[in-house]
Amino acid sequence: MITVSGLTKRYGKKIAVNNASFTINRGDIVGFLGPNGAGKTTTMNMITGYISSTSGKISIGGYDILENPNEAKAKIGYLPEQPPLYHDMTVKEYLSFVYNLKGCSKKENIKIKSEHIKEVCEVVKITDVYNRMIKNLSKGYKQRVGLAQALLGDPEILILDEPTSGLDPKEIVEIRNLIKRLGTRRTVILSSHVLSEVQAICERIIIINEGYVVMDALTDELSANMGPNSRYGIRLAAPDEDDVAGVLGSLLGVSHVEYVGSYEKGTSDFIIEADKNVDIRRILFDECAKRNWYILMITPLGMSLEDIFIQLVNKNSEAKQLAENKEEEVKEESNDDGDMEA
Amino acid sequence: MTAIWKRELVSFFKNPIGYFVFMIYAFLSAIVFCLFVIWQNTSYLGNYFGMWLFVVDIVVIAVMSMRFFSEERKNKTDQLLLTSPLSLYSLVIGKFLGAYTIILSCTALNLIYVVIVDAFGTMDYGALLSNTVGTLLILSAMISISLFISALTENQIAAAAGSFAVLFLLMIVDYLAMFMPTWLAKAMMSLNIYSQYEDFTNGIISLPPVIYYISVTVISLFLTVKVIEKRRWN
Repeated sequence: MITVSGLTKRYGKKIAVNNASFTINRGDIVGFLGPNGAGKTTTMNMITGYISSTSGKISIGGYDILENPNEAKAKIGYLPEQPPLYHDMTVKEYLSFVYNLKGCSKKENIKIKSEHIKEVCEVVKITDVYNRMIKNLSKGYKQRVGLAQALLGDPEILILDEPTSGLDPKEIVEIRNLIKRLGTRRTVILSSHVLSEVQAICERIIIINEGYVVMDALTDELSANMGPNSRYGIRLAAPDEDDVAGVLGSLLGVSHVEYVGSYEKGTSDFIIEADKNVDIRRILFDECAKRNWYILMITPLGMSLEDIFIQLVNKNSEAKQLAENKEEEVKEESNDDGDMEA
Repeated sequence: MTAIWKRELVSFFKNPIGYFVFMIYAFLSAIVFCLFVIWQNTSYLGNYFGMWLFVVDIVVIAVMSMRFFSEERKNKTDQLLLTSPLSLYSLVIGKFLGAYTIILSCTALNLIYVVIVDAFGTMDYGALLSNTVGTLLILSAMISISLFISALTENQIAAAAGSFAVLFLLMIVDYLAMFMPTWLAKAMMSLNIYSQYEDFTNGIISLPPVIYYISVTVISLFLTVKVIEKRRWN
């Protein structure tokens, strides 16, 4: 559905997106993950045709965004980070304007204007503010109106840039559920720097950092495959005088023990990390039985996306640093050779 | 294109600024009418359709230019326009037609003066026709220049000030040319947007000024498209 190859965007000397390539298939819900300034919005802006790339190709449903921009754009519904709303219009007027702007009446599968707008309003639940001025709406409703404009024309692809940014927790949950529902019959790309959000909504994650695509994997695979350790959260009931953390740390294969706190009277919670080839649960059980400690809980903790993200970003930065060091070394060597020859 | 045109009109007339612009136009054009027709004790409307009326138009266009592209960029609504399946030419022409319709509806207030002159004096219908055609043309050139300036900045004040400065300068460039060397003075005078209008004031509709104003309009709109396009590449 979307093919991006060798996409690069330069702003003067700064490279905002560097040689990004990926393919997004029909029906995928993909999350762009990265810190602020990583290049997520720039990538989305290029895919939607808002800005042009310095080099590289973007194909939307077989149409090149630069060669056939109108055909490509007709397949996309875009909700930028700041919803593009005209505050002097009512919701009804605004959606009617967007309907005309997108030339929806020419599309075969679109119903009559009023019916289509009504249907979209029901999907995003803005029927109750239909006749209100946009400037008087809450941020959550404004976001929904922004989403409604993206849905007009029934586009095959939805691109949402930080759709929950600035919303309260209740609105965040509602928007996330809405995006999940919309994703059942559309290709969805959403960007976020909130890792749990991408984890909750997306099946696939593309991690971008400093303009580079540093990882492209399925959400489940990502946490399962990353990291050398297996992690467990445990709750033990042990006598106060025993050095529980010390004992746990001395177990075979345990690489790290962290005391989390006491959430139940007479118990302590720990996070232990062990090598993957050791089943720490059996060793832990034997040791606790020997010492008459009670295991009240063992919870396997997959590596959180936060951890994965930090790990990848560090790896990426290290790799970059190494490459820069090498380059400097090569330069110095060539300078030395030059001096010698002189 | 029609959607953009409608949006411009509805938005203008829904905002207090729209009525403020009308008020400014009505007030200033009334002063011009008093000064150049009533106080001169003449019924010749060519006196009214002169440089000062166009200075009034420049003020109105400068206020309007704040809304053209600068406001869209400031409010990020340009993202909606530029990611819609709409060509840049349609977008710019839609904006132009919207602004042109608004300025023409302001200009329609002049009908009051036509009625007054017709009632109390002798109307020169030839001069009225030529001035109407000339006004339509000069306003189209002015609006398109202002659109171009608005596309250059997202600062609305800069757009308004820039539009006023450039259009006013194009109006008085002859006076500045007097202080320049001959070769430069000639070049400067050819830029004067008002000198092309003089034939219309005298009741003549000749081809060169018509071509001049249409050319300025087309070139300015073309440059506006290029400015927006270039920004996407930067």
